[in-house]
Amino acid sequence: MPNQQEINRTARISYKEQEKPREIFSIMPEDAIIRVEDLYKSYGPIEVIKGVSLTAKEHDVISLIGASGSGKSTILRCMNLLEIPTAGEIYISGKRLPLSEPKNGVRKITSEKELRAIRTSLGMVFQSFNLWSHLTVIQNIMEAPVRVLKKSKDEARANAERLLERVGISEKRDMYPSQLSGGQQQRVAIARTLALDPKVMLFDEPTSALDPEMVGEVLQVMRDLADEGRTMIVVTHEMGFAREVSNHVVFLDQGRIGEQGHPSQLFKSPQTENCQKFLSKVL
Amino acid sequence: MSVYQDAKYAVSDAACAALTPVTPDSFGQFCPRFIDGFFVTVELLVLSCALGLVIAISVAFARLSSNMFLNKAAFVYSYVFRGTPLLVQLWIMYFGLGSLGAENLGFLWPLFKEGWTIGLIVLTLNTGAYVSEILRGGLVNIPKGQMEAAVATGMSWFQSMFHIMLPQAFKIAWPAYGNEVVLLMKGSALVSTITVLDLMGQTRTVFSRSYNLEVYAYSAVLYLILAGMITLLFKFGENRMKTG
Ligand SMILES: Nc1ncnc2c1ncn2[C@@H]1O[C@H](COP(=O)(O)OP(=O)(O)O)[C@@H](O)[C@H]1O
Ligand SMILES: [Mg+2]
Repeated sequence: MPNQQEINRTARISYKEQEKPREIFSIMPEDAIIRVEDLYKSYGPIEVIKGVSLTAKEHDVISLIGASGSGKSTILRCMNLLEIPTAGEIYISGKRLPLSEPKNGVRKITSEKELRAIRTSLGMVFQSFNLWSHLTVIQNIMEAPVRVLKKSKDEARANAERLLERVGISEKRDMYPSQLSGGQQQRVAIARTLALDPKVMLFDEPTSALDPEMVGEVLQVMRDLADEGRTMIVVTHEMGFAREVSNHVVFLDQGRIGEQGHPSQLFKSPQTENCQKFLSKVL
Repeated sequence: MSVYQDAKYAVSDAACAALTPVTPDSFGQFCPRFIDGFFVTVELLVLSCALGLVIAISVAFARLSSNMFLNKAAFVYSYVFRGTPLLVQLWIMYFGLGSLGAENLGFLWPLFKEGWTIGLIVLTLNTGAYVSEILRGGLVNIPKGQMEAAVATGMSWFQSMFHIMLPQAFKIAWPAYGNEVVLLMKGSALVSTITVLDLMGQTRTVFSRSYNLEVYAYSAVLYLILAGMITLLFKFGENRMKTG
């Protein structure tokens, strides 16, 4: 009897063979700031990402859309190895994520140091903010620059003040996260990420946990970031944002890329049935 | 060291000078012994708490690390020390290992010949095991996103655990930790069985001289005072942590 791994492997090969070469591979690797190649991720026997390739160039704003459970978060979390992909490679600014070849289906991190450097260059914003609850707003923003970049407290504080001003919550600097509204917390979380001056920012449904009246303030901050040329990958259900701000939209369909393209084209005339269905539900 | 001893005796004398006129004769007569014993108990408590905390943090981290060896070793340690009576631990160390004598124990002998050092070591290891479990309980109850947000910035596992997770674990575990310190204080009376003249040790000595049962009541009151001080200290800490 073939084991599960073998079944997966054959399934994978046959899937790859039917696939047309992607237009996306025509982007020269050296332009790419993030390159995901043929990513697979399984949780036990369940395969949730089934061969996804993606490229982001500098200044790209890529929106990942798709039904809940289609694997959007998993892809994002593989990019900084919060999840370890089962197969496939990811390159950040040309550097391969330090993962070993699978041994008994397990891939190990081969260099903690390289991984930490890569993580520092990828800022992640979470759906549930994840501000550190025992630190004040300003301490939340200063923490990583001091611990990771070994900046002096004074320098980190000055930078944090500046960032707080930018996201418009200077007056809350000495409050604790639990004393802030969701929208304010998410803006602090964005400032915390910006404090490390990341090359790419990864947003995982940054407005999904917010009351409707607070969505706007967070999206505005994100628009500003896009305007100043930040490279961003955004998992979102805000189709308005995806359409107006991003220059590339990827529709994820059960762990595969169902369709992708420029928002003007993808939203106006989706080619696949599933994408049409999805858009008709959310628009 | 002798300066420290002198200071201790000076405080003890002063305390007794003040207490003797206002306390019953049966107390006043032996007051310096009670107060000296009280200080030995406090000393053992403070030292074993501090050293035990270092062990507890290391063991709690080890239990949550992905290193299988550390993980198992930490589990065995905490299981053994939480699963056996403190009295048995004290006696094994003092009468068991201690009886091996100077020639077998070599450089360890100075540690094993004194009841006080054995008492300190055992209390430390014992409280280390309990507090590690309390901290582990706190650590696993912190939302997963806290750690993720930390490592996602590029902080190392240890940095994230120490600077992000541990302070939050303490906040969760604070009341349980306060309880454990009171339990440790009461448990420390057992060191009197290995010749240590802590509060209990002194009380037993006094009783063997006076055959007056009241002395146990005095000792109980002193233990209660200590318990009250610990509780107050933890309440104070809790209030300071309230925000956030
Ligand atoms: N830790 C996990 N263990 C098992 N299954 C998981 C785990 N995380 C996610 N999944 C599954 O993977 C699929 C994709 O999840 P996710 O990437 O979170 O989807 P999305 O973000 O698009 O809603 C879902 O079916 C989910 O149930
Ligand atoms: Mg998700």
